Amino acid sequence: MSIEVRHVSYLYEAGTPFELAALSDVSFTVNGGEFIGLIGHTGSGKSTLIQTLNALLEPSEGEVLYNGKNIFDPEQKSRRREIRQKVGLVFQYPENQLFEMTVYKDVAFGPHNMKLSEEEINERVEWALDLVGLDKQYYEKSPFDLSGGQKRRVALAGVLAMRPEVLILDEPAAGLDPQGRDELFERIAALRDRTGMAVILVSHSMDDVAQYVDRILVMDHGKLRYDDTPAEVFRHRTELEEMGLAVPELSVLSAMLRERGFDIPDDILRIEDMEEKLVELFGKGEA
Amino acid sequence: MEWMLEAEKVSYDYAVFDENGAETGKTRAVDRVDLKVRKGEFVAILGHNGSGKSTLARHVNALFLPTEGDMFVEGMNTKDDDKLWDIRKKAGMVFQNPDNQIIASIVEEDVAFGPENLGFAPPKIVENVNMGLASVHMDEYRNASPNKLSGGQKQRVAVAGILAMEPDCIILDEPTAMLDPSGRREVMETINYLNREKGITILYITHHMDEAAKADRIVVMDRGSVVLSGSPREVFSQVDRMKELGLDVPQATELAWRLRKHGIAVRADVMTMEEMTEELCRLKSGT
Repeated sequence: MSIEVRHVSYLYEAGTPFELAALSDVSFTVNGGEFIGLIGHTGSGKSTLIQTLNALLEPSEGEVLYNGKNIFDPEQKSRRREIRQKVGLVFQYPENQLFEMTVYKDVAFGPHNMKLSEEEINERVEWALDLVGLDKQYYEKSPFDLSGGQKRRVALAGVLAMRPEVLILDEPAAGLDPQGRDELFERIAALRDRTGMAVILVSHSMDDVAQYVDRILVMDHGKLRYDDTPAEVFRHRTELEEMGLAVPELSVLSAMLRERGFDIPDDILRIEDMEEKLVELFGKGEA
Repeated sequence: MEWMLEAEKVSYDYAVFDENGAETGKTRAVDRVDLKVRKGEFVAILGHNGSGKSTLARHVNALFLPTEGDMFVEGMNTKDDDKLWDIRKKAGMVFQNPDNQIIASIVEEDVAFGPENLGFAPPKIVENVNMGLASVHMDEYRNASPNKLSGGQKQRVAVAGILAMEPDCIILDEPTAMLDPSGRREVMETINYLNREKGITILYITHHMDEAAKADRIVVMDRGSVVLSGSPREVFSQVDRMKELGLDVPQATELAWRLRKHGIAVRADVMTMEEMTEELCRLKSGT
């Protein structure tokens, strides 16, 4: 699986005095199994970008190729529908979109619309609910009686039941408490490992992004400013702060410690790694 | 009077309904909470989703009335109908989603909505709108359309609208949950300014531990009750207890907790990466 974004621009209200370039000349490629973080200030073009990836918005210029084929090919309108199933988009606060009487029916809604056999629908619903950690005892419950975190998992299962090859999540942890957030991210990481899906995580939390993803895309005023590993991206503290972003706290710590003469590398992004490094420097026990 | 708020054995029950609308039972969301907040205090409330913190906060401006017990705002009982508007004037509330709180099409009209409803004289309204916008540094946007603002700016407009009603207390329910890092910074700076410079009492609900660290006091809720209360240092240094409650501590505090397990003698109550750097430098020079 690959999605290739080639020189994509998107103009809102094109040709009017209000014309605004939400995306300008953005290019990158996403491959199967990648876990990518997409960061940028409010209004940087993140939401517009993810909507072009699943064929909701057609770029003003440039192309988006899915496995080498242009998803906006005017001769192939039905392709857009197919792409929306292959590229699953989980919006912010997806639990607001739950509407069926039972958890099972809500998750079955997508596969049902795909006109699959009952057997296939059943298999997909069970698979998707299993992936988000909701077992049979939840199938007949009303989604509205569940906790906030559980509702969000039902909404996620609804997208997974379409068997997407790419999963895009827009601020999936907003409003969840720390435990709910950690559980959700662990689950998404495990899901990627089990299914080989590519995952794109849109987030405002640099600490969450640093903890989980392999690659970061940074958007700023419609332009793709960085496309690199977390360690490389977070070396640009000043530039990120100018863009209204931040670096993870551990990057701040290692920078301060290096200034004070400590021998600490600048690519430590996980607390476990920082712990290990400091134990190595200070030794155990009598320190 | 010394106390801004006094909750005396406040309990609140939600009614549970079946699908036909018949009441089937009750859920206790807040359970016999005793809590006093001094005038001018900045109190952060932490707790996992469903711990009762938002329900409790909605008692302060009489959106909810206690099922049992009493809530006093500057000595006025929220159950006293005659005092309802006085209480709502004293205690204003800011919610999570800025888009749901904006009602006018021009910033200054939005800010004027509250004081107009309170029946202030027109010159007074103008004065308060100016003061509100100036306090959140949004004066230059007074004629802008709110939907062109960033998330952080929208939240500041919401705060200005509350300020224009001349409150003594502002309750904020996860105001930064949907904001990018610079939006979060803007809102936090505004809150600190209002508290320090204007003496406004702040009740601040959040899942961000670094924000809670800026408060005078942290109150932790679990299953409807207050389970911990103290200075940020006192509360956060109880790392095991906080984890049991499904919560986090600032990353610097967690790192200190991890290092101490290896016998590295950093202070247990560090809260920022600056303090952690100082501690590590102290240890290094001591050896």
